[in-house]
Amino acid sequence: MIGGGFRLLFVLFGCALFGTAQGAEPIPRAPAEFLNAYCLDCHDTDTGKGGVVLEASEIDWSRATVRNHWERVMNVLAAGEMPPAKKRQPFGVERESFVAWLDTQLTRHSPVGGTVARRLNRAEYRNSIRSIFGIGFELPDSFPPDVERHGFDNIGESLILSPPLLEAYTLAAADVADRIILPNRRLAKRETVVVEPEDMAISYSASSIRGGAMRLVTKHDPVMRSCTWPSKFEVHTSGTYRVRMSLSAFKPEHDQPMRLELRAKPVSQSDDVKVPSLRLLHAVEVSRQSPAEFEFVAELHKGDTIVFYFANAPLDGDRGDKPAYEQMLRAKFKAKPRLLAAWQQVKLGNPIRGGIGWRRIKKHLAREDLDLSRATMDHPDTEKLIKEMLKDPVLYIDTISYEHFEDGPGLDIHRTIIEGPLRVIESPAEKRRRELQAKLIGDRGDRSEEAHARDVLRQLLSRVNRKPPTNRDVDAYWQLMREHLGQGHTFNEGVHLAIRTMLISPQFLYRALEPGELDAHDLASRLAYFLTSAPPDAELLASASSGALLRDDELRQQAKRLLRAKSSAAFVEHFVGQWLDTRRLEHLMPDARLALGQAELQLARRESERFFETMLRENRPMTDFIDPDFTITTAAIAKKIYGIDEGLKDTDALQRVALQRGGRHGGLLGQAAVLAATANGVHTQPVVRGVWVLENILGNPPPPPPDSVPAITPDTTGANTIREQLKAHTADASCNVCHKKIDPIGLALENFDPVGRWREHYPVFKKNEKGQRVMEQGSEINPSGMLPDGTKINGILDLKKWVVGNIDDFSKCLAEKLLVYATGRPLSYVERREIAQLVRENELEKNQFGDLFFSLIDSRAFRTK
Amino acid sequence: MLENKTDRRRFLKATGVSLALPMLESVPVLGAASGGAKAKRLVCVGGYLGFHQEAIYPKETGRGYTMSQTLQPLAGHRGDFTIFSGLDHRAKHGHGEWANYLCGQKVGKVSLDQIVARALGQATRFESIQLTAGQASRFMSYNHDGVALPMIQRPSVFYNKLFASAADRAHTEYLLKSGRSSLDLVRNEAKRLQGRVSARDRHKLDEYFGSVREVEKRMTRQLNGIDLPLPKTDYKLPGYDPIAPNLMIEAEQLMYDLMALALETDSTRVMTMFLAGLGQVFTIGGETLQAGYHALSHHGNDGEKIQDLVRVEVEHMKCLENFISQLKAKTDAEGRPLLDSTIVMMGTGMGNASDHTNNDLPTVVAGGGFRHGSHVAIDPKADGAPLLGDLYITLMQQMGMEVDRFSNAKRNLNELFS
Repeated sequence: MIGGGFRLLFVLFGCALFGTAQGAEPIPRAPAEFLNAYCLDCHDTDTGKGGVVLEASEIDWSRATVRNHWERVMNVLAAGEMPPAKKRQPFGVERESFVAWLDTQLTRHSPVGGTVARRLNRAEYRNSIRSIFGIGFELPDSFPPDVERHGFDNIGESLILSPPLLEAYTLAAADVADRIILPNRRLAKRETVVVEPEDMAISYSASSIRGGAMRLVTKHDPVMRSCTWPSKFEVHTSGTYRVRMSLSAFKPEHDQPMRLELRAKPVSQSDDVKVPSLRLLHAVEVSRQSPAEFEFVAELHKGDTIVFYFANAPLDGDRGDKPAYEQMLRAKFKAKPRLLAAWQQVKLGNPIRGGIGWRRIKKHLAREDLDLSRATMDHPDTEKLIKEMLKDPVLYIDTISYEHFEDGPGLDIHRTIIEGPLRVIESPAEKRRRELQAKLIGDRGDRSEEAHARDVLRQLLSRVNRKPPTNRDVDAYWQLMREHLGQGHTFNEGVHLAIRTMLISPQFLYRALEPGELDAHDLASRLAYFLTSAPPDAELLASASSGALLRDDELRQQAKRLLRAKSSAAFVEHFVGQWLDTRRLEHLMPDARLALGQAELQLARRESERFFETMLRENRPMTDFIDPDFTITTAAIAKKIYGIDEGLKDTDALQRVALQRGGRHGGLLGQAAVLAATANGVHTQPVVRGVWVLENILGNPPPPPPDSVPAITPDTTGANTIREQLKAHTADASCNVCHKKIDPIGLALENFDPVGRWREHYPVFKKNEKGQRVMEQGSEINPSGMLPDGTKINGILDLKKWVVGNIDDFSKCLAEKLLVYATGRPLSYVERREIAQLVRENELEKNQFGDLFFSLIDSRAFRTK
Repeated sequence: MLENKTDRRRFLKATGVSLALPMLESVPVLGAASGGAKAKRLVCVGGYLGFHQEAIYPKETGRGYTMSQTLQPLAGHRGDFTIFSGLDHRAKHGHGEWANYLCGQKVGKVSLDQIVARALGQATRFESIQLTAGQASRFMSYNHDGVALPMIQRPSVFYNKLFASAADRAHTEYLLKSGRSSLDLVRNEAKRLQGRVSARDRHKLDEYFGSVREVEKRMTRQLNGIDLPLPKTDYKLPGYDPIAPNLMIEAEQLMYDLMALALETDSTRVMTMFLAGLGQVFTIGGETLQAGYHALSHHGNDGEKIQDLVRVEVEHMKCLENFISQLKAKTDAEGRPLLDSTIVMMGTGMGNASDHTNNDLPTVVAGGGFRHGSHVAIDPKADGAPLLGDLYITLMQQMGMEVDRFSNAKRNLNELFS
């Protein structure tokens, strides 16, 4: 039996297979006899068991789908999966010579190269614009998404161009051109704006109007949680402005001066932006309790407003700074036992949030019979309260803010007067525009208009198209410009139009259109987009232009150079994220019971990326992918997920952590990101994990399951283990073909929970008598099984040993993924044979990843379109 | 509460028979956007934090209901709107799935407004317009390619789009005209390349040619539109854009005013507006609320919180009331009130923001030539209970569209609502 995918293949291409087609070759006698003797009983045209028909008199080897079909036939024969055990078996020699015949035919007829013209994908387009013009550029939200195929989003055949996309390109091109060519500037009028407290923004519990002033009490990174700003003011002309403020300190602590920071924030920027990232305009110290005048002059840019931030507020809401919040809570409760007692009276959680919550606490505070018996710092209830309040600082600070609005310390803003522009200045955008113009257009000097235009166009075209333009290209653009000038437009408007046109032209949007071996410039582009998701830099372009790139060692040297550069981070992120599917973690919300948040999942993702990068940079042995003596992770993940306590540096940053070889964690099969990406955030899914390992580690993906099979729904009561549910597969022969490969691997990984933490039992969540959810140990996990080659394994340690023992399968798999990503096409039979050869040669040496990586860049597959 | 549920069940029973029948035959089939359709315009407003169900749903069902607390501002328009309870798309829960409001069961599928825009939007300057009051944290409209459409947050930007200055118009015209010569050049370049590439790449270039042709057509349409006389207005915006969080209600009212002008001048026939729900602290009736909007929505069934939350929701309804009044006063080309042929829907993708659940979505529909005035209560647990998508099918049919599917819905609500 052959699985569902094969069937589908036949349905789609069966007609083409057996019709008489051009380029079809008759099947020679010996293979025809083999088919007749061992295959056609079940796979003749009439029976077509499993949807597979092998009855034919000739084969059209020129078709990729036909070659794929016969390659699968070859694989099942070579693996001994066909003919089925109960049927008559061919002699070893017969089988071998039939397989050899298929191998020869496939090798002879499969091509090297043949990538369908690749349109720049989103990341490549963004980076290209940034690199060509040296401007900060982000894709607008309305930009259409790319389609993923063969595991990656940079595959030629799936990078479709649609009318809405071309329209989006057209709009982006005009936006880019606008940033280079100066529009007319309007004359500015000096104005004076008086901002009363009621004209200032209130967001979350950041500020409140008290005693006729706008009062600030918290320090918290996001603007919307800590700041106030004039809500009806926006700078229309970049310039210097005079700001006068009337400020006072409300009940300062220990007479400490209050520091008010004034920062510039673009009005259109999200209010979630972090205060420290905003440009500091001025800071003042306020210590008097009656209003005092302050004045400063600062540069403000078009679109700015001024945010007011109480930089040393004792109420510190930043999550990353819990100790400060905890200290503040303890100090407060120690100093005010009645306040502590009142907090002990209220129900915590959402209802207590904000001013309503504070009012409730005050009611208790006012009671004469307030129970003070537990209001001591050493009472266990106090510790419980503080622990609860530490869980969600944002929530409780929203309440404590109101206490501070009433009792201080608070910083009061009485009135602000903004006057300007005193002097008009160039905004950063205008300055960049002027510099860009000087670089890209320059002065005409003593050139004729046409000569100037041609120079500008030639320079722009070689940047945009990643290769020197032909004279014909330049002619076409000069023609366009000349007509435009003839209609009365300026030279700069002509360049504006030329830029808009270049950015929607096929030579910019598609790379490598010419078939065959890549020329030096196309090769430079392939290398650059592979390793940096961006166009070639100046050095690589120079190497292409001189032809050096096509000489022996140069391509490798350039690759090594690019990998050393910062820009290679794009390769690591895009390749690893898609190969290991860790991109999925962006959208995965782990169940709260797993005690690993979204932010930590993102760090786990970085772990996998840094691990891959280190493997490459340090040229580590291939087996280290599976069983290394290190990982690069955070102290929190090392502790929480990997159970490592010792040798950790006390920092939030990623750090190199030593591991014992032969252990549970470490390597791709034990990494938190991989194990989380192959689960669903709540439950593990052994089938998904098994398929994932086959596809991404062993390079032997099973065909997709038939549509009619429902997914297994996890049984959370624990009465039925997943193993029992999967047993059904082994009973049904058609399922068993694939599931005997999938399930043992997936089950061996069951000791890892949905975020990769070790477990011996399935968890069961029950409600106790108080109605709280509690976790209990469910049934024990049984990670044993038998791999298709008969190897018995008992869990992850055995599985890792087995993969290390068959490391070439992994090396071939990774090598193939790298080349698919680099070339943008699925690889042909002969290309995969060449990869296998490179992997073998590498193994005969030291079997190190870096060496293999650079040999791939030198391969025929890489160098051919 | 219990009484209320019994009511709903009884109500459904009465209509159960017709619900089970395929009702397509009973619907008059009209050409898309035909002149004979009762409704010609659609405005969808979506509240990000939903509407507290207990406060917006009237206790009684049918026509004789007592006006609910949240709907109180609309009391004067009682005969011009219908409130639906118990409808939803059977979508997933959570803030992330909010856009199910107009997308149906699966977020990212083409949204109701965009389906309608394709049918009704061709004759006007703007096929559709997307707006937001407050900073949008989610998308609301998705086009046929699954692309989320950005929203205009500044009333001044919307105003300039509708009533562009002569200089702005000249600039747009310039970009479009010169853009056509751009397309000529790149088309020639692609033709030159065609001779040198493989057969499969020629297909790739065909994609390119097809796209160029399509964009050219759109440019031509826009250029033709540019010669139409621009609408004029005496309406004056304030000197600032109310985009600070606590000015959201002010922005909301301005957007409604401008939407009414857009419909009156027939600049567009399809609009959406998102009502943001972040930390905005509102001042209502001179009193500043004691928590931000988002914190209020996480009320955890706390009475005081709910009270303040409902006060904010009532403010939304006051804005809507003002809009409906304007649509009654303004008239279309035939001199009839705009509201008669404009469907105004106020809904949400979130049923209960405190629990982040996306079922039982409160939905108000006003205008559009329907027979209004009741509380249509659906018991979602009943066998074959209608979906929110069924209501959308009815809305589209009212606009003359031959549609019998929306997301997971395959019927309509014509028997309950027509």
